[in-house]
Amino acid sequence: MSTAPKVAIVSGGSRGLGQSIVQALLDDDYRVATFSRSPTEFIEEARRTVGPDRFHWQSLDARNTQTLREFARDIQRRWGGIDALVNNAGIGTEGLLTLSSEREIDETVALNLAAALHLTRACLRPMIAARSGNILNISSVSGLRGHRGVSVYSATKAALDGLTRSLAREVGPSGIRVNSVAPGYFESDMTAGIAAEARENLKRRIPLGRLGTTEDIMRVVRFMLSDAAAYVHGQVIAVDGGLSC
Amino acid sequence: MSDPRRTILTVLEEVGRDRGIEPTAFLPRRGLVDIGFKSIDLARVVALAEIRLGVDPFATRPITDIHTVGDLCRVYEDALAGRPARATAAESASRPSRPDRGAARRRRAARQHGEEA
Repeated sequence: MSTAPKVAIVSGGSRGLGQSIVQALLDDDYRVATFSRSPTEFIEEARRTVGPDRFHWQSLDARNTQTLREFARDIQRRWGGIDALVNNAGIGTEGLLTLSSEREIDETVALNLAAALHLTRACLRPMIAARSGNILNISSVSGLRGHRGVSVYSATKAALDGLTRSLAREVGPSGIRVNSVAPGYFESDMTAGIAAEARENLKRRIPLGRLGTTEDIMRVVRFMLSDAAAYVHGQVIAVDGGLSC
Repeated sequence: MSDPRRTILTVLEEVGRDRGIEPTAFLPRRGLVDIGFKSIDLARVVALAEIRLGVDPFATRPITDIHTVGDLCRVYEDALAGRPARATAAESASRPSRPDRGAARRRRAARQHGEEA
């Protein structure tokens, strides 16, 4: 029986939720590869303390599909396979659709959706060859329910959930699980800018009466990536304090 | 670099074994569907081929062009040699030799414009 550590790719793992996912997987003894446009303090620290045998970061523009393909292929060669992929990278865009620039729309679709499709395609090859794998798409409660001012963002996140359901049908027979975790509003860089009054209004709409924490999301992410969720497949798990119920 | 044709045939035989397909079935002119391959088998062939040969010809061309064992081998040979993709057997068979389809399309478009003008 092989004792080699599992290998995970996490897109956009340099900050926020992506950073927490990378850290959690390292804590769970995974080998973790991630990318972002530029390094953060967390990335530099992980490179120093974890070392290249268990942690790999690369500067990469996710809009470039060829570099995504090469990244996945490099990890497969470096560590002998890919056990898990977390499609986390994305940007939050806000504003009425009619007032959004075409560039904003294209950029959001490219980063939140197209990059996930291309990276998934690249990672599926070694998973299909190994007849096992775990793909987790980080979508959003905005993909489940309508919210004013986030049409573009919502469209990309709902599309990720569509990917989850259809891909689950395609690759389930190959032993690969595909799911989404759809966070609601939680304390993050994206919600840090919400004004105090708006924050209170938001809390009133959440049945549990509070914004989530990164830890709330992480517990579910860890569960979905674990064997405890071995029979959970093609699902979108909302972690939103009941906002979408 | 290993022989791409031999590598593809080995991969086909490995994947075919799971379906109970005899290795002798993989002759160049035989259709993959006729042999008994499903799309999920082809996905596994492409996955194993990319790992062993280090190329993914289908990043830039549709896999729906591939019908026969020979088509599949040829695509990998071309990709590894850095050659532009050659027509598959099915493409060649369905393509009129003269005039080419592009010319016919251009003529139709020209006629249409003429009629509109």
